[in-house]
Amino acid sequence: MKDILARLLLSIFVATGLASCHEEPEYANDIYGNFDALWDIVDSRYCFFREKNIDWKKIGDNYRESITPETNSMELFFICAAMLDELKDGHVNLSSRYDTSYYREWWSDFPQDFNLRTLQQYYLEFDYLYTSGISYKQLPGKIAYMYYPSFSYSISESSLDYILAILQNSRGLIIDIRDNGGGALTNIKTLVSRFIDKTTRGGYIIHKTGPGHSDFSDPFPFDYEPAPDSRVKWNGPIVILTNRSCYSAANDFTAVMKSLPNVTVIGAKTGGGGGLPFSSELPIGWSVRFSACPLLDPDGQCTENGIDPSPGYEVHAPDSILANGKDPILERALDFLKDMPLPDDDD
Amino acid sequence: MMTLKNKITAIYIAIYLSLMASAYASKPACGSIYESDSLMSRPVTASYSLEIGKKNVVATYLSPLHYSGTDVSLAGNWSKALPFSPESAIMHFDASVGFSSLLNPAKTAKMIGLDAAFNWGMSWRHRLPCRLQLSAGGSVGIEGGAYYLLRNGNNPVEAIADVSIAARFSGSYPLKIGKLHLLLQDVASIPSLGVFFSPEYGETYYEIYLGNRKGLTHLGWWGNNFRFDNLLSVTLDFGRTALSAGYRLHAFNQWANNLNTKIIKHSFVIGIIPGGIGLKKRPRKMPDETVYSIY
Repeated sequence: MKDILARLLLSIFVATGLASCHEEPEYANDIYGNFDALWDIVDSRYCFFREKNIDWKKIGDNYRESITPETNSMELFFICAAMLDELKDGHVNLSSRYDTSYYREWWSDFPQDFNLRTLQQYYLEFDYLYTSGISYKQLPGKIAYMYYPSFSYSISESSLDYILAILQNSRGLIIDIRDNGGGALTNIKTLVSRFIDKTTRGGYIIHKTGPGHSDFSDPFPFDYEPAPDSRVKWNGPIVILTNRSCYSAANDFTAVMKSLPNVTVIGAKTGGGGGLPFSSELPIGWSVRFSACPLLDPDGQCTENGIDPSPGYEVHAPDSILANGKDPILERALDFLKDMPLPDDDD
Repeated sequence: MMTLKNKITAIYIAIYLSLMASAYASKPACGSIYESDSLMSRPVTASYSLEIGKKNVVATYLSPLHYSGTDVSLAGNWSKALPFSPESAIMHFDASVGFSSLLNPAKTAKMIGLDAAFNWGMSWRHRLPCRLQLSAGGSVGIEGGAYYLLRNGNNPVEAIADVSIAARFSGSYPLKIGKLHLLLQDVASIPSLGVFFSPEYGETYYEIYLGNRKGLTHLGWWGNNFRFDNLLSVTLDFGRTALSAGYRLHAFNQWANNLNTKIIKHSFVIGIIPGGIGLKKRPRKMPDETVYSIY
C-alpha cells in the first residue's frame, strides 16, 4: 500500500513538474532561424495589426521568398528592415552593429511646417532664457512662449516654477512642441500638472495578454493630478503648436492637453506613435523594437495615427514663407492670443 | 481585490505559520549558542557558504533567447534541535543572496540578475540502524529577484517574487576515513504551494506603476511554478570547525500569463561550519548530552 502511495505521489510530482515545462521555440542562428525569430516576435507582440489592417502572414511569406541559403547577414538585415517598414511605424527599429533601421515616411512624406532658425532669429531674436531643455521668452504683446524640442529633457519642478513665474504676466501661453519626437512619459505628468486644477483623465493604456492578434487587456484609465499649491501654475489660455514631427510622448501630450477647456492646438496633425515600444532580440544579436502597448486619448480613441489640431486651426508653414522670416503657425497663435486679457486686468 | 484562490493561499500560509509558531512557542529561543535544557545541549549549527557556478536563464518577457553566465551566491543556514523532541525535530532558517552576470548567445547584450531567498521551517528526522539519517519536513519561504536586460527600453526587468510552502527532504550518512570524520549529505527542497508575481504578457511596469494590479498575483503549484533545489555535499568535521564542499542544482520554471521563465543553476559550494557538526569529539567538555541538528 505504501509502495502504491509513493508511486502515485512520484507520478503526480513528475507529471505536474512536466506540466510547468512550456517549451519555447528555439531558433537556429542562421538566415532562416533569424528571419523566423523576427517574424514570430512581431507576430506575437506587435499591437497595431488591426488598426493598420496589416496581413502579417502574407508580408512574412513575401519576404521569406527573397531569402536563400546564400543570403548573407547584411543582406538579411536589409530584407528584415524592409519587412518591418511594412508596419509603417516610427517605433519599429531593427538594430545591428552597422545600422538601425527606421521607417521615416511617417514624417518625410509630409511638410515640416517648422524652421528652428526662423523661430530663433525672427521671433526669439537670439535672446531667450533656457532651462530643462525649454527655451522661453515673453514675446511682444505680452504673450508667453516656450519651445520644448524633446520629452527626453527632464523637466525640473523648480525650473518650471521659474519659467511660469517669469512668464506669468502674459495674455496667454504658447507651448511649441514642433519637431518634438517624444521621450519620457513622466515629463508629460510634470508639465500637465501645472495646467490643471483638478484630477484630469490622461488617457487609457492597453497591453497584450497573449500572442494572438486580438489578445488585449481592457483599457486601463490613468489620471493626472494637479501640482500642489506650493508650485507655480498657469490657469490662462494655452496654445499648443504642432507639426507632423510631434511623435510618441509629444503625441500623447497633445492628446491630453487638447482635452483641456483652455487649450487650443494650432498647426498640423501630429505624427502619432501612440504605442509604448517593447524590445526583443534575434539569435544573431540584433535587437528589435516595436509598438506593444496602445495608448488611447482621454476620449478612448487610438492615437497611433496622430492628433488633429483643434477644429478650424489646421495651419501649415511652407518652407518659402519660413525662409522669409515668417512662421504662419506661430503667427496664427499670436493672433489668437493678442486680444486675451492680461491676468491683472480688472475686466 | 484578492481573488478567491489568492485568499485560500493566504489562509493556508497563515494556518501553516500558526502551527509552526505554536509548536515552537513552548520554549522560546535563548540568545546564546548553547541552550541548556537541564542536562541537554542543543547548539545552533550555523553554516556559511560561497557558491559559484553557471546559470542559464530564459525569460520570455525580456527575450526569447537563452542567457548564460556566472552566478555567485552567499548563503547561510542555521539549524537547531527543538526542545519538545530534540532527537527528531529540527528547526531551520536558510538565507541566500545571489548575483549573476549573463550574456545572450551572440554576446551582444548583457543581463544582470539579483536574487534573495529566506526560508524557515521544521524537519523530523529518523535515524536508521545503518547510521543513515533521513529527514522530511516543510518550510515557508520568500524569494525575490530581478533580471535586468540592459538594452531593453520599456520592458527592461523581469521581477520575481514568490511566497511559498516547500517540502524538504534530506539524507545524511557519517563516514570515517582514517582520522577524517565525514558526513555525506543531500538536501532537497521543493516549493509546492504559494503565491507568485508575474506581469501580464505585454504589460509594462509603467502600467503597473499607474495602478493596474490586475492579473499580477498567481496561485503557484508545481504545474505553473515548479522549483527544485538540491545540495549534495560532503562535510569534513575537525571538531572545532567543519568544512563542506558540494554541488547545488537549482531549477526554476514558471509559466504564467503566457510568459515563460526558466532558470537553471549549477554551483560549486564551499562552506564553513563554526563549532563543527559533532562527529568528532571536541577538546572542551560539553554537557552530558548534546543533540546536533545536522546529524
